[in-house]
Amino acid sequence: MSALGWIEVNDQTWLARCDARLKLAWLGVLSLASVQLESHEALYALFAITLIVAAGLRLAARTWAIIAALLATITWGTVLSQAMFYGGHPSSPHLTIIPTFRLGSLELGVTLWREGAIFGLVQSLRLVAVTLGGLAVCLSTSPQRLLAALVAVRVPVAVSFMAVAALRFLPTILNEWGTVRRSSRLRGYRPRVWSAPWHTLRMEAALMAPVIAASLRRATTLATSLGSRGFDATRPRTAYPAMRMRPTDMVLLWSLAAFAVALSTLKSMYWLSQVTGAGAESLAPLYAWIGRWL
Amino acid sequence: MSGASSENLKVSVERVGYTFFGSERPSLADISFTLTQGSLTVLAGPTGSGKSTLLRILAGLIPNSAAGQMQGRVRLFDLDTEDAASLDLATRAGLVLQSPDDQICTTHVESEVAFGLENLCLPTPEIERRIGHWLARFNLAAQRHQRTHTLSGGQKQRLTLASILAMGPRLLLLDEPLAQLDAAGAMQLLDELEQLRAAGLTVLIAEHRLDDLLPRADRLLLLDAGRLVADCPACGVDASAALGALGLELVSPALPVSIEPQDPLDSPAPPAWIARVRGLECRWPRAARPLWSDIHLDFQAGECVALVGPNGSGKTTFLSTIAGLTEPFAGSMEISEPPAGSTAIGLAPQNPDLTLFCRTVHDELAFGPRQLGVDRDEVHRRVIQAADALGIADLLAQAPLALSQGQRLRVAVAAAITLRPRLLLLDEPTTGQDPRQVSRLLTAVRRLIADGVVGAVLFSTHDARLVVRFATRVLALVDGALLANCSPAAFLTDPQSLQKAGLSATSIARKQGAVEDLSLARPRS
Repeated sequence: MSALGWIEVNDQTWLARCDARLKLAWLGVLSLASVQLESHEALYALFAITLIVAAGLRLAARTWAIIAALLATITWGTVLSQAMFYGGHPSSPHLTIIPTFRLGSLELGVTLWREGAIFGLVQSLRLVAVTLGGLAVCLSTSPQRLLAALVAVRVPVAVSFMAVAALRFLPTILNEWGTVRRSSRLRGYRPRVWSAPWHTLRMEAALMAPVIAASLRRATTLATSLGSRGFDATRPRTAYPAMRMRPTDMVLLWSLAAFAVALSTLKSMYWLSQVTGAGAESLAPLYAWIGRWL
Repeated sequence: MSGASSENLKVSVERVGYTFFGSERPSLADISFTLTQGSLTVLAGPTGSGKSTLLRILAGLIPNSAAGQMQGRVRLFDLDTEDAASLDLATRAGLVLQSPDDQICTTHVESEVAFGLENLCLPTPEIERRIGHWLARFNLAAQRHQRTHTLSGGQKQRLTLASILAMGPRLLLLDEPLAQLDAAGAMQLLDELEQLRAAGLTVLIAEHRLDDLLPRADRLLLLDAGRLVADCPACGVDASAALGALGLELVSPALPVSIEPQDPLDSPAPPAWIARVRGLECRWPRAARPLWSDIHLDFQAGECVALVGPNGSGKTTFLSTIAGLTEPFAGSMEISEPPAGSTAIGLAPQNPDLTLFCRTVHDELAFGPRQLGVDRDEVHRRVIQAADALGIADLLAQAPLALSQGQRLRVAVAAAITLRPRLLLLDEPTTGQDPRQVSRLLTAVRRLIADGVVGAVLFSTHDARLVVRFATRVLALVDGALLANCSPAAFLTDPQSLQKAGLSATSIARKQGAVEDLSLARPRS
């Protein structure tokens, strides 16, 4: 069922049975919220909701381990970059790696700032929520349903099909990459990262050549196959099975739409009041609530 | 029947030629023939003779989706391919390519059959009906909701056929459909095709494996260097003579030579044994039973061993395990210490492209010895020797990935040979090759064994002819165990073993004289 074909997923979960268009809508609203929300609590809540939705997929422990590693990498990258380059005030040094020194008019040095790390941790919630949401959608939807849904929301067929075909062939390419590396090992190649880094780098680049060549050949074969089966990106296609929204899907879709409109309206009002200073006195408690919680 | 309506019952190709974009020489020239409705025609010819290009022309992909220059005219029943829309072409001609893996474009069986029908914009009840019908027709109804990547090779082949036929073409074009099938799979496919032909479908098959195919076909079209050199009944003197003239004869003579391996120069005499396998077992994670188990084997210097078995029996995994690339679940393997500057194992996988990563053929051949620290003069000597042996000496300056498929395979084998492996593993060296090329390749490899350049060879195959001609011993991997470990003569004269191993009792095996000749090609004790 999964668009990420190499990961086995239970296709009887409620998320798997949802209409693919609803899942795309959820992903859209999730992205919108991750950009608009600013308070720590709201971002934590957003991540928690995404986590609950993903938990509904009943993934295997190994799959969760892979996802956790991916999310941890994103979080670590964001925290580290924010800790190093934080420019806000107040800021207190947590760890000085290179003490500050002057080079002409430049003041240089590498310090990790505590406030930057905390800021990065909160910011990473935006990224991990959207990443987790995207994974949940991909894992719970077959590429064909994803293609039909993308076409239904007016994404051009050529773009949608390319994305779906990429998902279909990703495991094959990874497998071929493994074969190339094993073959090179059998012919005596051993990466020597420390003793011969330049040679290793060149070899690693060269090892990509057969994978790229095989991908190009496969693309030609696939194009031939698609052509002989009447595929034309400029023409309409039937969706099989037909896209059907269940009543619960409709309720969820309208709820998502209402949430998106409400959030955008509230945040727009708040920003306008902050920028122009205008706004009814009677709405001051509302602005305060938005500022505090959203 | 009026002239117009009889025209609508056949495919006509009139003085067709094609030159690829950027090429000066035409790949096809002056091809003319007709196919009548309900006929089964074989398109044969050496590798690179233009068979695949001709199939694409018949499917209308050339000239509609290609940049080259086409001459002549192709009429598909009531339609001229040059002016036709892709959907009209798809309902006239269906093209099944060689590798089902590369043409399956969805992840589930049901959606794969639905794909073409969705393109035709058929209503969903009709799509539902056709999916049910064609999956049942090809024994795939039970796999309807299964993922495509979990299917066996034979099932993928049948799925591809079902997907094409569900669109209702009147002409079925198949590009080497038997290349990756064992005998049982091939027979099943040919039975299906005969039934479809009887139902009025016109079938054209481009194929190298002709033994089982020609007796069922009506006609033979033979291409050589882009020209139609024979158009005759499939069975008869004319067909045999035409095939023989191109070295594609059905019954190849057995090779009456024995191998007398010599010790490599400048190295101590190798031990008589090369590898010992004890209790080897392969089991995939979470699999209920092993892929194969309890394998006990010895490989001796001078042997040319054929590994046979039906599709999915684990031949490739066995070779990979012997090569040390796949960790066995249980058991052990001991390989004799190779002399300095050589390796224990050399491997040419089924897809040679994945072993070619250097800029030139020369660098590709020199890569292994250089990694082993062999001095420059010796590297050069090995490169020249391997290139001469495999007939690629004139290609040394070229980029490996720009060569033809047959040439790429020979480069991959030559690259393994320059390592002076004690045991050379060849995974299905017949795939995509015509018999003449395969024969040339294995003859060269045997000569290298005799010269002591390679210690022994283990090659996997579905082709009984290769077993007859080149093997000194046969290993049959069937149902997770080693069914046979014996001489080719003993194996090929046992119909039950042949059937279980997925090899057909082809004309070669039935030809008593050929089997008797095997006594001359015994392994050295």
